[in-house]
Amino acid sequence: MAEYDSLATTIGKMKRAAIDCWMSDQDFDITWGNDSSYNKWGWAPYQYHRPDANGEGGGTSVGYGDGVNCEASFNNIRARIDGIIEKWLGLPSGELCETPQADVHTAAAVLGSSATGTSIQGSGSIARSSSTVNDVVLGNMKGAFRAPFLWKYYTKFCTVQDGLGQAGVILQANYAAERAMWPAVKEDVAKICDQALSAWNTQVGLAASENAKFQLAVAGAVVTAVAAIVTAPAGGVGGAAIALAVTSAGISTAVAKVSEDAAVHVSGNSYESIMTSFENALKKLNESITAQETALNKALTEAVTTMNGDLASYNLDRVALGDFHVGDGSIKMDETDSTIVTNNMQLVEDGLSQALSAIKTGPSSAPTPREYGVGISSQGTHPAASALHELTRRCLELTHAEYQRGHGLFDATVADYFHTNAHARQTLRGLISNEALTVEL
Amino acid sequence: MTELQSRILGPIVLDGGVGGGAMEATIPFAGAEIAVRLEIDHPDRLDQQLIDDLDVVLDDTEIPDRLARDAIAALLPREGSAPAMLRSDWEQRQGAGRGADEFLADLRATTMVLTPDGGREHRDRVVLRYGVADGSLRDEITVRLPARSRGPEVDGVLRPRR
Repeated sequence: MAEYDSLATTIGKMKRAAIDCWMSDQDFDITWGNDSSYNKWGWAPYQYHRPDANGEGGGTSVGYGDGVNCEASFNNIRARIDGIIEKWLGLPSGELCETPQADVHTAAAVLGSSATGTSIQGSGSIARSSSTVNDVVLGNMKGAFRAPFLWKYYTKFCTVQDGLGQAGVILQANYAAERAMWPAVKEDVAKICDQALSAWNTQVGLAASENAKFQLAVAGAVVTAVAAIVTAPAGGVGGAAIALAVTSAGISTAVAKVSEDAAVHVSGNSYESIMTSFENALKKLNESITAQETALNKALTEAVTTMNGDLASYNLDRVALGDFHVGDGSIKMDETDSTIVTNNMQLVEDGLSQALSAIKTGPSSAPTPREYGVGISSQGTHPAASALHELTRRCLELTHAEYQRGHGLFDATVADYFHTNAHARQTLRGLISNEALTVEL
Repeated sequence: MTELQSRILGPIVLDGGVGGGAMEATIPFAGAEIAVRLEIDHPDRLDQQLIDDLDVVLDDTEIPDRLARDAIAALLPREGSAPAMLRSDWEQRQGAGRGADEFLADLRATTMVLTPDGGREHRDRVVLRYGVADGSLRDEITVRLPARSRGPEVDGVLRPRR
């Protein structure tokens, strides 16, 4: 069974086997009793030198002069094999996807989700603190400020939390799929080459085996990797997050489809039919990879479009506060409760800060680069993933800053209530107008 | 049927039809003569090149003769093999105590069947029959020189001369 790491050796063997088969198709068998030449029927004139074990050389005749020569044909066969296999050499390992996947996973875990049954496994601390803020302000305080404040800093914040979490799911699915893909592709390339070698050798009479159809490993590997990330069906979350949940579910559907049609087989009863079969098997492998990367790419770009089209659901800075009245006499609160609220808002702020430093910026160059002609592009899904990674990070950054402002606004409201004086009132008005400003993405 | 010419077999005239044809001739073979039967599986694809290539093979019949004799000699020690059985019959006639070399020297190639365009369907290319020279024994050894093989193949059974 061939290994990808020793593919160069296998390719050398394939070249000789293909040439052996080509000669055999024309009635020239390996010389009886001599592995280094061919004779007609194995024993009759004419006689030609056979390539070496690495598939090199051969083609000149043994004692019939320069006019009897098939070097050019041998070279063509070697070149044809090289032409087909070249782009499959030097495949990436996928390991460079591990760090960005872990970064996004950490950020998503801290961010958590306000909804249950989603793909997001959260530590829940932000959700809990945010929920406490809502409970205390709603249950224990009075004042017209509560409506706009909770609308933005609880209700819409939950939406943003879910939305960014779902964006993180799509990013993780991309990195996980690219991580799992390449070791499987290497396995498939090695197996396809092995089958071609075996098929040619069988025709020549040096082997006696029938190649079996097999399922491309890359199909199942990506299905498994994506399934570990995208666990919730669409409709398991509420609000705007459903748009991205549908997008990530689309990845699962698409890669499952690839899996339904991923059987290959190298066979044939002549040099040419086996060569064509070999080429087609690799083409099928490429089609599978391309379909998978296309699905990932589609999800990544769709997510960016969705988020940009509805930023208020992904970026707290874009949510308008509404009428936040000052000094209308409607407020009533006690200091224990206001302390609980401000402490919990601090926890949320800290969590957001943690998520922000975890998510980082994603890889600066393609983590799974490969030759042109393999997969969706030589950079894989890197451009689309970078765009989503950066957008998510930026939204998180602006959300964190805005939540900080919201926290400041609450504190100033409290200060104004307990120590009503011109200074406190002025601070409060200043914060309200500052909070209304929106930063460019 | 064709206007093709072999330097050794003469004009190629096949009986049979589209499904295959054959012709018979007598040619020199390793210092003696042999009855040859040329069988063509694909008369529609038969051309002068194939006949010319065949002539190159028939130019030097020492080669197939030597290959066949070496294969027969290698099987003499193996009890129950066709060469061993024929030798045992021969010794009964000639008296025991005769060496392997004498037996081999007494063998003559009697017929040769050529199937040059057998392709993947017919592996055999040359099939030789060897019998005892004076014709006292009717049984013959069959030696095949097939394509996609690593050497001659000797049939396990003796066959009577036709």
